Amino acid sequence: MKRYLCTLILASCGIAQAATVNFTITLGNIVPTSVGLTPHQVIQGSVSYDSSLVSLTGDASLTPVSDPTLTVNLNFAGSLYHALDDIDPLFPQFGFVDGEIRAISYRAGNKHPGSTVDGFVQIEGNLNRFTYSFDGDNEYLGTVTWPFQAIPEPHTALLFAATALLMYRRQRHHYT
Amino acid sequence: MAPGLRAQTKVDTELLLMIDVSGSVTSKDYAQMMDAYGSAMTSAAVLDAIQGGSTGKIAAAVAFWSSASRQTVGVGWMEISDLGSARVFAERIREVARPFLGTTAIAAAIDFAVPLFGTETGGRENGFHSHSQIIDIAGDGTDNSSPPRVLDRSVNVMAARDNALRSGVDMINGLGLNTTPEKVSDYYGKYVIGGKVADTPAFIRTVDSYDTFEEMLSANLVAGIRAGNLASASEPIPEPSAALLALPGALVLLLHRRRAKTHS
Repeated sequence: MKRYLCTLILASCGIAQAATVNFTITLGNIVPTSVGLTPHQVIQGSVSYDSSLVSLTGDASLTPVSDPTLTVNLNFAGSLYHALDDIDPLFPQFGFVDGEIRAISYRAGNKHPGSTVDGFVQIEGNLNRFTYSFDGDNEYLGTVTWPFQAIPEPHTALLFAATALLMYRRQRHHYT
Repeated sequence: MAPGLRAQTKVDTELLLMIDVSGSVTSKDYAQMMDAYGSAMTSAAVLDAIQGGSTGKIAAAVAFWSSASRQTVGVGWMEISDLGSARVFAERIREVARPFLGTTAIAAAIDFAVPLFGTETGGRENGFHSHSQIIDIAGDGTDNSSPPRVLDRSVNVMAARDNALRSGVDMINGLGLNTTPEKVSDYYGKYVIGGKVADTPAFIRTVDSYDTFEEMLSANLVAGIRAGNLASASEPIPEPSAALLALPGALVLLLHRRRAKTHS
């Protein structure tokens, strides 16, 4: 059993580890109510990336080129927004400091049926600002709240569980 | 003077008012802002500051900005020296129709502003000459569209600010409108403002609502104009290009005369 767990732990290190970060967007007090949005409405979203590509110290950034697993998920004004909706194939880009996501540049064309070609949905910078427009003229704001804490995905969770089990077994062995 | 060239009027300060008209600024906000600019320019405090300079006059202009490709001059350069000229300027501000809406491109706005000061910043003659070229920029948002697209566009804003200061703009002051939970004034303080005039470093004032905009705007204008007055009083206006042009001209004339004398 011990050998099996050790193998599992070693196997887990060195392979891609998906990390998901959930965020919330709180819309401002001025919103286009005609598209079903309400003032101060809270919207949920998430981003995910391969955390094994991010250094735990210093600055790092990921793009769809450096991390093809990078995703954005946002349900806004009745449409789902993904990483592929970004207007630039080299984006979205995620910025990290000491292994934690601290900045994002995501700008998608607005997919709402009432939107013109100039409409956009944007999360950008490290200032937690969400900007959107349905016509490129009238710009609306929201505030993005990040937990700045990656949620462990199955591989990471497995690693934690295995370590905990090992420690538990060692402790029991010590007492017997 | 060569035909087509305008005489430069010497003033204490050239003051460019850069106004954010991005889509987050509502029609009501815009109307309030324009009214505040008009009132501030005709206020006793601002007029006192203007008349306290060595020439007793400034040149002022208004430019609007929003997205990367959206900037325009709303009110061209005007001399302001007394209540009459201030009123004309204020009327023009109040009359100008909002030119556009759009996103927020602060770096592009600063780039647009630089040559408007005329020869001092490498632009076309604007009719005025002064020691101090000051930008007073008001906005309610952080840059979200100045090219190039990078992870954090604040680097574009800093680059534009630094380039403006290198190009001859002396000071960029800010008026940050904190109309969202995000502290725009912090952003302006860090990335937008810069430079100094007569040892007065660039400054930022904060407004939490358009209701108090006029008060903070007046304070900004007075502080900028006074700094310009100090600079104007302490130094003569340098005209390096004219001096450089005159020197070789005099040399050529001298050589010509000496040659003529030796030949005769």
